[in-house]
Amino acid sequence: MMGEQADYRAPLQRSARPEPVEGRDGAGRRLSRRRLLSGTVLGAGAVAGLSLLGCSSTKGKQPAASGQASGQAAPKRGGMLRVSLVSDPGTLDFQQETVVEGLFVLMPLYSQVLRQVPNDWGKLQGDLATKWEPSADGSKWTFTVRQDVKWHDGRPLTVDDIVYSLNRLINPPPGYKGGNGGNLRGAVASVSKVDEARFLVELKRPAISFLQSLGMPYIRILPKHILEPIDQNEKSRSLKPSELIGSGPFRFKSYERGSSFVYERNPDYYLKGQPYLDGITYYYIPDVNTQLESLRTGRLDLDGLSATLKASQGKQVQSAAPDRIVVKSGGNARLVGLFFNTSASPFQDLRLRQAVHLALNRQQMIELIQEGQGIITPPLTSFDSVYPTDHYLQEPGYRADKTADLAQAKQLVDAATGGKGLDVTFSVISTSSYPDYVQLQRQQLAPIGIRVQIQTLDSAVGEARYNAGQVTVVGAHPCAVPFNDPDSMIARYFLPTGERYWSKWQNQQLIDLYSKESVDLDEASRAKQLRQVADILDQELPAIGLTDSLRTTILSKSVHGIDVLPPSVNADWRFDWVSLA
Amino acid sequence: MSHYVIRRLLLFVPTLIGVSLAIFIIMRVIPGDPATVILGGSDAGTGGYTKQDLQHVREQLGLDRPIPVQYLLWVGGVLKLDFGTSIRYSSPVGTEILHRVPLTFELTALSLVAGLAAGLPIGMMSAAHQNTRLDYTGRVLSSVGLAVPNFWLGTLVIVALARWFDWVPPLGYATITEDPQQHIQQILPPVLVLGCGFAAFVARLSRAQVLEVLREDYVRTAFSKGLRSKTVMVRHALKNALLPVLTLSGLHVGVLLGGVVTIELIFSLPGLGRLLLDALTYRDYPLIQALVFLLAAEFLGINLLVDLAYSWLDPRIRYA
Repeated sequence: MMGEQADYRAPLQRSARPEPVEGRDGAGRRLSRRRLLSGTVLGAGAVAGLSLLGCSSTKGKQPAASGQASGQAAPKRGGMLRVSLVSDPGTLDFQQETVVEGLFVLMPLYSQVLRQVPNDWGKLQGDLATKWEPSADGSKWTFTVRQDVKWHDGRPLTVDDIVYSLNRLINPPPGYKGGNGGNLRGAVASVSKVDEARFLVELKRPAISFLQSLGMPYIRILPKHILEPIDQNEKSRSLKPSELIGSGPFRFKSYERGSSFVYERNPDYYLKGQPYLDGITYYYIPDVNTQLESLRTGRLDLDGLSATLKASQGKQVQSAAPDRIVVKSGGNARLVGLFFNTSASPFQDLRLRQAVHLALNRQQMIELIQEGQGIITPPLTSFDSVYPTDHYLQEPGYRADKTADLAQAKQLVDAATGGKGLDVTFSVISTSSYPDYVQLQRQQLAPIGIRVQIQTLDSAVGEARYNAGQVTVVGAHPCAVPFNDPDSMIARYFLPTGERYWSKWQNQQLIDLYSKESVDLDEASRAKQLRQVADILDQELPAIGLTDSLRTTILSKSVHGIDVLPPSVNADWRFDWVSLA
Repeated sequence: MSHYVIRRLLLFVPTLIGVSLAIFIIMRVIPGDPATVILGGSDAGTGGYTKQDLQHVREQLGLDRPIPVQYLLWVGGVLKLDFGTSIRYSSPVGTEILHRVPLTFELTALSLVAGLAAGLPIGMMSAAHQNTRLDYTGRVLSSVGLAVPNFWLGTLVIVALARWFDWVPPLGYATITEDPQQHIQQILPPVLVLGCGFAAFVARLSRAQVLEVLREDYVRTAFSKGLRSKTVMVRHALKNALLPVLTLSGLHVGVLLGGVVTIELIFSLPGLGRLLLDALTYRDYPLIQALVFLLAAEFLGINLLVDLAYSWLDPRIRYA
């Protein structure tokens, strides 16, 4: 049986990375994947397999102050944390918001059933749940919840609230705009109340990734007494600011669209003594220079999601204000991938897919586009505990020395095209640095006789065309990792039912493997099957992993508690463990 | 006069219909589905959506109807001052816009005033001291002002203030009634940046116009009468030279409104420019349509006011 603070680390997770991470180490050596991973949470699978089944128990304990390392001085209370963000939430209904900035700003309001452990992001701990246990076959989970939680308006948070919230995600009302329940929807058949302290989750089939899905920061509990009348009478309208009632560490205070979002401490927060901050103010600063200078001059404490900051910008700010600023790097879990449309010519031909894979120089992409702050990405479903990146680094295509790869790639192109080479269009969305990837691909593929034309598309247009199979190659596209398990990537990109099934590639062996491994509760057996999946993808190449960037975050030295950045933007940023000096 | 005004106002109607049709058709012709943008978010990896979800959202937004029907419904709403509901914010478009109008209006108006206040004296001084150091200085300054784009100058101001004075404008917009001091600190830098380009434009134009007017017979007569040069410049030359300056300044409002988009972004001001940019990013059709429609209407209105001001500046002009 499981209690909070047990190690619920998924057996197959992307590795968290230590920090600060530089493109080169102090001796000027290029960082290898292995060096990046040293000191991380690899090897968690051994305990996780057991704990996932409920065999590891610390039943009856209350959660320790989240994120507070033992032996550290008690965090100082008080102060307003000032955080920058780029854009407003579209809707104030957390369950309908899909933009990551919008979710980020609303997180401090709400609690979850399970939550990530701050600074040890691969682990899950109980939040509203105090205990959870699976049925013998793993297809049902019974959760026991805290009885001391109040909504910000003073009403008690009950099992009914949790059941309503989860059901709203799994079976959304008509017209509901939100994909936040996607992972749960795929796994959960129903959620029902058992009694005043417990609820039952029935899965469609045993799913090893269920707890990870439930612990995703987007699965939060909203009050039934606010949502139900809206869902019944007003379709899915946005919540009004006065309806921003949660049970999280901070209460809503004010919101000025396009300008600021302000929270104050929730004195009734169920983790006694927390939060340490008096409140949080989020400022909307779309311009990166204004953001950087505001950090440098002390008007801000933390650069919110910082997805677009470059390492050099971070260093520049730090060198301008070394006594005030610290720069950290963390994972982004935003892989950049290339997708072939395998349903049409010319990339129905495996030889051409192999040629592209062999000729692309990932290390050059990291150096030129990511300022050296990145790692080479193996097949999109390969997580470190399936096959660590190191496994691939000496393999054809991934290795640094491209001489042999280019020669082989040229042979493949010549064989496939009769020596004429190939004219082909690579499509790419016009945002961020993705067009840079395709420019570089054009240069890298020219020597093997693949002449690339570039088609730059608006994001919405691009997604629509990719979905419709109207492109030949998606040159570079961000592939966010929804959570720390390969299943989400397999289902999303490589199953015909996936919403990003851009490769139009069908492989019955992979589908069969997915059906088996996704319900396999035996860690070793599942890992073996996932390695087979990775092998199939590496051989068939419907898509190619290119690079994974590292995220640069700038924060004031007065911010305490953010020791390790989460390995992706998908983290529980409720700041209840953070304090200001 | 009143007939002229009515005729001009009536001419607004076909112009605005043209504008609304153009923007409506362009937004629909561009491939890509806003429902996908809504459900897909910004690739946060939040989970995904089904085809049913997509269909629901499209129905909810009315995107499943034929485009002519969508247009007529929208026009019907506009006639009742109902611009629809924002796709992104799920709130009435009118409310979103009204909330942002005061700031953008203030920015534009103050930039116009600042530009005229700086540009006119520079232009006149240059003309009055043609081919002197003063003239050269004015011409160089105005050339630089015209050449430097607003977004670059805005960034430069932010960076320079931070590097030299360890200061950036306060974050979190405050209206003048909420906090006058903070408001001034927030509004002054962007006004100066926007006003700078406009001042350069006014300076060059007014210099050329004043030089032309100074060569007119009536100016020579005024000097011959023994009037002081300041009197001749202000009472005789400037007023006549102002006509084209006024006309082109009216047209320049459109440029200023365009500049406001980037300036609001750089200085983190929640005005119409930021709203338009967000609307474009998230393909918020109702919001884009309403904003473009209103900006076009504002532009037409300002030009009408400029035309009417002619008769005040030049009594010889009569409206039939």
